Amino acid sequence: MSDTGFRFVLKKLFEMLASLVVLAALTFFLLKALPGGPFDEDTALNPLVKEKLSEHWGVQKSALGQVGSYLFAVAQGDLGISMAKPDRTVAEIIAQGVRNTLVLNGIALLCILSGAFIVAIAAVRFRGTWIEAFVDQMVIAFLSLPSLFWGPLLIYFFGFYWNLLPVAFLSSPAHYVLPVLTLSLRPLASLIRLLKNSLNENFQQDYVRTAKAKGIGVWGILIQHVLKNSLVPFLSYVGPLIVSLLSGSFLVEVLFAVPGLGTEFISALNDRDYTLIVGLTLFYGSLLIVVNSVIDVLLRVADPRLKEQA
Amino acid sequence: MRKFLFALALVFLGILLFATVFGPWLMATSGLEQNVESILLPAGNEHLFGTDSLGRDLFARVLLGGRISLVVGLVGSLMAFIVGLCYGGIAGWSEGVVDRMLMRFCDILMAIPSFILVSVLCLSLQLLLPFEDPLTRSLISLCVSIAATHWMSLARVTRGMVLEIKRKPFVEAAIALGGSRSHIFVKHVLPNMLGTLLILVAMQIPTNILYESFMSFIGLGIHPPYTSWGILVREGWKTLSSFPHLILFPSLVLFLTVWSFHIVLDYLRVKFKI
Repeated sequence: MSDTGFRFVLKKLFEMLASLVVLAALTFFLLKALPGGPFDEDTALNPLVKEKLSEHWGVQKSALGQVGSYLFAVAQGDLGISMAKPDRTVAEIIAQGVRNTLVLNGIALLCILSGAFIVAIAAVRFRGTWIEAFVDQMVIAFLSLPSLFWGPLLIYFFGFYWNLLPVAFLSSPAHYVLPVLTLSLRPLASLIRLLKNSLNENFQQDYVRTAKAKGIGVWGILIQHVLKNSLVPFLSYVGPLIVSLLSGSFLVEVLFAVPGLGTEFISALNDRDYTLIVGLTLFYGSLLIVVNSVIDVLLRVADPRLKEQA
Repeated sequence: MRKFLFALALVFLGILLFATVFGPWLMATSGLEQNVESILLPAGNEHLFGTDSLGRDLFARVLLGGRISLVVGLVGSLMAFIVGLCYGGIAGWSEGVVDRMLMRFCDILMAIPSFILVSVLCLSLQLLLPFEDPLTRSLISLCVSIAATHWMSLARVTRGMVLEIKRKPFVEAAIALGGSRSHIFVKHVLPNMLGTLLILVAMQIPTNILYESFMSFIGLGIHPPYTSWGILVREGWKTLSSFPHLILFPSLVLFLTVWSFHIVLDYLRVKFKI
């Protein structure tokens, strides 16, 4: 890797660490400041839990010492004990929910990627016809489709009215259909829009004319030449796509009673289970920050043109 | 087709705005008083959207909730706009080290997933703000937490445009004529980027409305007896299997509103090439 490339990786690494520290500091501040927090004098907390927590976080130390020991503990993956369920640690709860959340989001991601490529390529192939106009309007409609409307609608018709599909928990493959459908629609629409714009832009380049002159069919040009060149904006969108999927997953998990991280997070918010909130915030935050940074670096490796720009 | 949809969406938004502002004053029922004799009625002539489990008129409640949802959408994006404009303006105007530091901080904030930040901020603001009135408290914490997590992209665009406009001859001319910094910024730079910025700000309105409904749905935003579209969906969700109209109407209005916003803004974006 060249010198600029190395500097870029260093810059990304710094940015990643800084984001993580900001996130951790923010959550620590919240833990300290909130009324009814674990270190509040009037907290009606089980004394045993409180003692364990204060020992855990080093409450007797100075403020700086507290931040230090907090960051040190977090860096070791030690997130403390859940305040609402004193017999379990936060790490245990996260480990239990993470599988369901990741599987659900992974399936949705695969559906979105394959669906977006097919629809976007078809829309560009039939440029200027009613198909493209239809896709454009559908994209806008799907982008505005809140899962609060779409999820209950699916549940009502498929679950209760026609009684076709199960609507809660994730115990068999059929259980995944409705949650994945609810989860994917909005990200799918935004990905189609992005891919379509990128394909359209590349379709007007000179090399397309050359390929046409050589007698390659429209499908061939699209798939062999244009698609390859349109992949960079697509790759740079994968990070935000994962963020929006995981964000949407909160609501979908609640709607479909999926025992995952999103459900845990929302019940923690409602129970004021601060240690669990902080733990999940840090977990989600670091997961997404790391994924985004890795994608940024990979993107630079994949597209030499980006290297020259810097 | 596009023009037709644009007109239709504009008309819908106009009617919605009029109905939410004046509707609750003009209607016979306020949507707050309970009535044992008209519990869970289906949609009909007397109650346009039917009634809920406490006998309250759902149509009146949708209008009442629309007030709060729209206020959060508008005020939230306005606050994000002001912060983004000042931050991006300062960064673009000063360049150099200040600019680099400000933008780096912006990048760091943007890397944190906004969904988590909004919910955690909203929860803590609700607990920390010193207002007695629960409605004021939840409204302010919703707007502030949404604005606090959505000004970054506006700041970046503002900075880019300030950098570009600064190099234009008419700004040089204004500097040569002895115009002060604030004069040049307000009279020359700002008018040239206001159009683009306003459309970008308006694009946040539907997002904010969705955030509000999400927050209220999970129990962090507005709390009953006050109502918003999120609260109505939350109430309807509990009786989905037996009384689907309770969730259908509020969420349908939510969908149509967000959709109309998107159609209008998409049309404007293409028209003004932004």
